[in-house]
Amino acid sequence: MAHALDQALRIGPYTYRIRSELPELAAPVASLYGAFPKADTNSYIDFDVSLSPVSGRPGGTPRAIFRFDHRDHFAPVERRHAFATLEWGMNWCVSVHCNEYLKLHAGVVATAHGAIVLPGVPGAGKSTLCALLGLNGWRVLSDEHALVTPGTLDVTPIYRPISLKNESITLIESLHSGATFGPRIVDTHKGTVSHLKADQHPDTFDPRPVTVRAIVFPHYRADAEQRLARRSKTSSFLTAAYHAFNYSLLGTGGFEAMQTLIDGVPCYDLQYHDPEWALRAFDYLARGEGGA
Amino acid sequence: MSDQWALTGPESPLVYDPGEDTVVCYNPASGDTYRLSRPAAVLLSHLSQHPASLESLEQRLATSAGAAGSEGQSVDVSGLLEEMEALGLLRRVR
Amino acid sequence: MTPMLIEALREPRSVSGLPPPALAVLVAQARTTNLLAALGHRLEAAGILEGILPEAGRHFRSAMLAQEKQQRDLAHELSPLVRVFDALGEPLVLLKGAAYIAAGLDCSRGRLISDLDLLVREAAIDRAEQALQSAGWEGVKQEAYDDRYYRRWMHEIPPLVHRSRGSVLDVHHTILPPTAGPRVPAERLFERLQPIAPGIHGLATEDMILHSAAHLFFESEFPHALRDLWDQRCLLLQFSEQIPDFWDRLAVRAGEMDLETPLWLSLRYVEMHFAITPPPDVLDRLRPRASVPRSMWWDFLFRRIFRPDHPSARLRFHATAEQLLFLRGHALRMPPWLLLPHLARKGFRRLAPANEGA
Repeated sequence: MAHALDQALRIGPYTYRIRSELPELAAPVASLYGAFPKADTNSYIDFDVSLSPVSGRPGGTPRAIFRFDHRDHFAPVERRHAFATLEWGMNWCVSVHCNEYLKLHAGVVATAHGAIVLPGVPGAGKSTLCALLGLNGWRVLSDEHALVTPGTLDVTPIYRPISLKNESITLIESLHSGATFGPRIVDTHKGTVSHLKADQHPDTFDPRPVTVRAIVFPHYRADAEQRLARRSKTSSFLTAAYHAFNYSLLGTGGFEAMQTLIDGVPCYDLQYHDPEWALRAFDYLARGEGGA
Repeated sequence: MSDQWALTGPESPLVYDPGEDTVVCYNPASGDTYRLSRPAAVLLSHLSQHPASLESLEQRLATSAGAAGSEGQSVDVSGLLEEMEALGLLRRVR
Repeated sequence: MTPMLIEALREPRSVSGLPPPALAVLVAQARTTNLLAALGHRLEAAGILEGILPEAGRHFRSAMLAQEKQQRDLAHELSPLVRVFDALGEPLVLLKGAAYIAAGLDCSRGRLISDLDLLVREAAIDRAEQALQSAGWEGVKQEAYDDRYYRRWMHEIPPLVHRSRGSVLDVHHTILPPTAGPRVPAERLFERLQPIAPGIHGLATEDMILHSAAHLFFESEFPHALRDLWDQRCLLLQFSEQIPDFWDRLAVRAGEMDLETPLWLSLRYVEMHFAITPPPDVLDRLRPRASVPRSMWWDFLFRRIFRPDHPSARLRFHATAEQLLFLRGHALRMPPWLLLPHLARKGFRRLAPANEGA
């Protein structure tokens, strides 16, 4: 079958080849990935991924499957979830490989002063904060993976469209009516999902590492007092390790990399519910007033 | 003679001490990471040098407690040792 | 054309001149066959890894780190097992990957394991199962049919899973199902166990190789076929260099164990893929009295199975060969009158709703 989609894109330090026979994927990929640098034909392909239709029972729900290295790794999904599955699969590639970095499950944003890492459980609001910051002049390095080079405070950018869920989509749309979103995908295992284009910053595709200046643990609390407070290093270490993809895989190396990171930068808890207030807190951190 | 205490594995646990009231400890023998109280960290660091008896560990903790700025509360050393034994950090030797 | 991966395993220097897209295909072939970490070690030992394109080098090193983690986890898993078997008064005998790693054999460099396989005397198997259960390894819930199938027709009890750690143990009482063609006298395996680490035993060297060969050619685990053939290559190379009269002893033991055919097949394909040449008279002694068409048929099947399942390496009829060997594996493991109901049940279960989560 001919491929409606066949592109090799540079995404952070990696090159993805993305193929699909599904014509409905061409438009969202063009709109969300249009600005990404293309890889030439002599490039090393890190992740060869595809999304293909699978035949099912006649009259049954149309299905599609994500493949990596031309192999099935997961059960097929409903075809209407294809784009979300492609995005999810592309994240998975980094989450389970790539042990050259200590990988935290975290959003990463930056200004000219350096990067802020936002580790968090799902629902803590790291993607929402990344989206807000990205639409307000900040550079988004990732909404999913903080790639930290062991022994340094360097985080390597790996920007992709930001995955927003449920109320976050409506919130961002209400604040930024001109924002570009991918298709709205309903009834996924995470509810409604949509991907936001957040590559407006001129340095978005600069592959060079950025120095981490602070770690902020976000907590979205609708009815609680908003505050930015220093957090103990011991508990920051343990929480970040708990939410890392490969802290324990790296063993002693993971411990040492985490120690370098946590010891090198101030750590904060950010409890918030008002986007304007949260933006001001990040501007305060960016100006370096939090102190190192 | 009472039990001697020693580290479980041949490699000493790694400790990150940011100068707060707890430290982070990584046990290479199990791959687990723990948060330890300061007195527990003192015991661990002492045992990283050589095995020791309960009495000598109590003594050790008493002398370092002043330096660590603790308010002179008495610490249940044998309880701490048993907890660290349960975590797989320490073992009893004869 | 020989797949790049086999070329690279045989001759690491073949990797040096590869352009970036070809290196990426090599990495994909190695990842697909679970040989990425093993190839990384091979390249490192040959001094190639250091100078390789960094985009490729990081994938080898990542896989090597993941495999080191698995080795640490294995060591951590073994200490409670040593205590259980010590209290039981039975030897703790590891099979295959876990044994290679515990013994630190050459083939353990970068070797991933999917299961932890133990060998227990048939007479002690009930006591062992009970002792393991008290130590936290519980039988996986399964249909009564499967339970009976394992106990009656396989050479193992149903897999045990550790309650808190989730590790899986496969406890065998011999190295091939009682229904398979060869009649392996399991009690003779126990006569020649060797200590491989404190409190841990492995099969005798020759038995280790014979078991690996029997597993490779009698059990239907084809995604691991090339990995298993690489084990054979490394075991044969290491022991033929270390042990005087190795080939002779191996051939004699194969006769005692009724495993001449799998050993012959193994030597044949190791030579074909990795250029390790056993003495010709050994091959002649082992050669089964199969007709020429039969060995051509084997070649048709196995030459496909030993290629990475990747579009860059697949031959025509790869899927057919896999299906035929799957059926053959099952046919060898049970009498025909059992084969049909078993496969039928497997088929039905596959039609049941799979997990839908993405």
